[in-house]
Amino acid sequence: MRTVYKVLAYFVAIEVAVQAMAAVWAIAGLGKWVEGGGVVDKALMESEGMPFPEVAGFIVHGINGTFVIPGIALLLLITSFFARVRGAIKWAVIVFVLVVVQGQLGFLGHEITAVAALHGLNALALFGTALYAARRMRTAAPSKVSPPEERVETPV
Amino acid sequence: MISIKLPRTLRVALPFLATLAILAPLTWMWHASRVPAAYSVMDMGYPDYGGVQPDLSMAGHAHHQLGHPFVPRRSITDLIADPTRPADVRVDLVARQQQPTGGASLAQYTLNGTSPGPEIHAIRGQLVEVHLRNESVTAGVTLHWHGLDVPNAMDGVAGVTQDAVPVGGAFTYRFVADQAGSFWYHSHQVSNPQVAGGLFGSLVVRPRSGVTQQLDVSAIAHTYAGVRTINGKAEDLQVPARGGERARVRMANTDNGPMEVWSSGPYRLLAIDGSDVHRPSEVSGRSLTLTSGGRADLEVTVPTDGTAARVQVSKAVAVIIGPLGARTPVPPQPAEDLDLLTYGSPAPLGFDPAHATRRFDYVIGRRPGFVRGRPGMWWSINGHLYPNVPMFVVRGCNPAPGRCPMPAPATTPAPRAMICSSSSLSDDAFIAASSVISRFWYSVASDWFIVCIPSFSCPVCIDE
Repeated sequence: MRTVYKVLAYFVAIEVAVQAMAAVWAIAGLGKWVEGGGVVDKALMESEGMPFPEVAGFIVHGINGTFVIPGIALLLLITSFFARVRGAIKWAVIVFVLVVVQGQLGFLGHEITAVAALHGLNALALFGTALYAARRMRTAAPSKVSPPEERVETPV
Repeated sequence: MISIKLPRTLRVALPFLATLAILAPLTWMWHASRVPAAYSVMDMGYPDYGGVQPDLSMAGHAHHQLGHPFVPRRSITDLIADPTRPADVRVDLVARQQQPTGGASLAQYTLNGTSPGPEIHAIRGQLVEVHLRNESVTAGVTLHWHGLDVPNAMDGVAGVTQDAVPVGGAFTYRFVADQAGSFWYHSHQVSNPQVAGGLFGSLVVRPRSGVTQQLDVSAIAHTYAGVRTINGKAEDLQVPARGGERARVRMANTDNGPMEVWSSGPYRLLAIDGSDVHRPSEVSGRSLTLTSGGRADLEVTVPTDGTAARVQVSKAVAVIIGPLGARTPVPPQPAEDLDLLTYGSPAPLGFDPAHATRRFDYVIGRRPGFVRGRPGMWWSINGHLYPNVPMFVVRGCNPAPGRCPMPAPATTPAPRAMICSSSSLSDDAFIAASSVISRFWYSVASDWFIVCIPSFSCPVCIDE
């Protein structure tokens, strides 16, 4: 379970990196398309087509952020119950909360653009937290697997 | 660190209980959001009587179906135009799932081999008969007459007023075009891909007296797979005209989102969404927001200095009216919008909104949840997700002559809506509200009128 926990936490970090790349790739494509004379308005955004290939970046960002990352964070949380490592649940909860906050900031950012800036900042917090949650599994002590009197306190 | 000593069995069970505590509500929500493959809109959502106690004695037998006390007294299929009256306008339309031949168009569907389909013309009061045949649209097809009041059986809403026409099938639509104005028709079966992919066309009803302008131009703005077009072509629409001539430009937006329209010179907005504007004044320096599915009749005058009048549709395409070869640069986009609530002069409404007998809330929101088993951030109506949406219920008019301002139910008009105030709405919310209002549809299945909003819970859909 510790390995599963570690892998899932790394996946969250990787996915945050993918999100950043997808968003910037898409915005660059949008800029290039507008430079070439393309016109963007709501009617185009709601249309079925892909006026420029980097639109895929927006789609990837949306699907990852709405479904994939919350799904991984949920699996991480469930895995943490079985990991039997001190602090595993705590860090999985923090990752999960940051994911939920990240989603809300993302949706709200379309209305209040300053919130979108926080979406970017929270992404860094999530990336760092997920990475830490994964890496601490290498050194973290098992919890409550042995009787408490035999347990050795490890400073974290 | 304090360690609490738990019994061993509990220690083993706790992770499983915690997992169950997370997964059980999610599974329940997922399960509850599923809908059967086939269901009746009559059983969908919950009735909202607008603050009035329902008079169940009017609902036929005292029979309740899933909380809906409606029992059809007459079938929707009886609500038709006079079957004995001969048609004044006859049109045959063949729907195909194919790209148009000989063009670079990105349409996926055609009507009579083209997209948009042929423009249908009528004079107010004429009986229009459209024979639709589905040659190859695998998901089936219908035709809906967007904005026009037609007998309910002719409204073309698959699953509500008729079944979709399968491949090899046909359906004949008959209705009296009793409103003069600019309308459009489109498929109302799997509307999102079918309309975006090309199953639509223009429908123009002219007054018996004709129009006063020298030129009458229809311009449908549509985006096929990301490509902006006017009347199906990804280029400006050139209309030859002489200096001083006046043109009526019937703009229609058949996309899923609003677009801005503005002009190189002053313009008058003669009609909006098929209704004439009362005493329209000349507009300069304002752009017009043409909502999804909306129509705007603009009057522009060709300049006498040899240039052309240019009606810009976003910055992508334009209608250029003037001498052949005349050039007019893209006019700068005005920063401000034309406010339709204050434009023109007040005209008698025919009813008093202050004395409404029923009041309904329709609050559009977004919240996380499951719709049809899929998780997501979904649109909500009054806080509920599809299919748990309100069904607005009002009393039908008494068919006795002289007692009802509207015609008897057999020709009941679609409930068109009038926006009385928008002070508390942001621009976006206003646009959303106006497009939602234009998407109400209805079914008359007893003395009750049922305004239902069946599938608003998809993030992007054109469901009119």
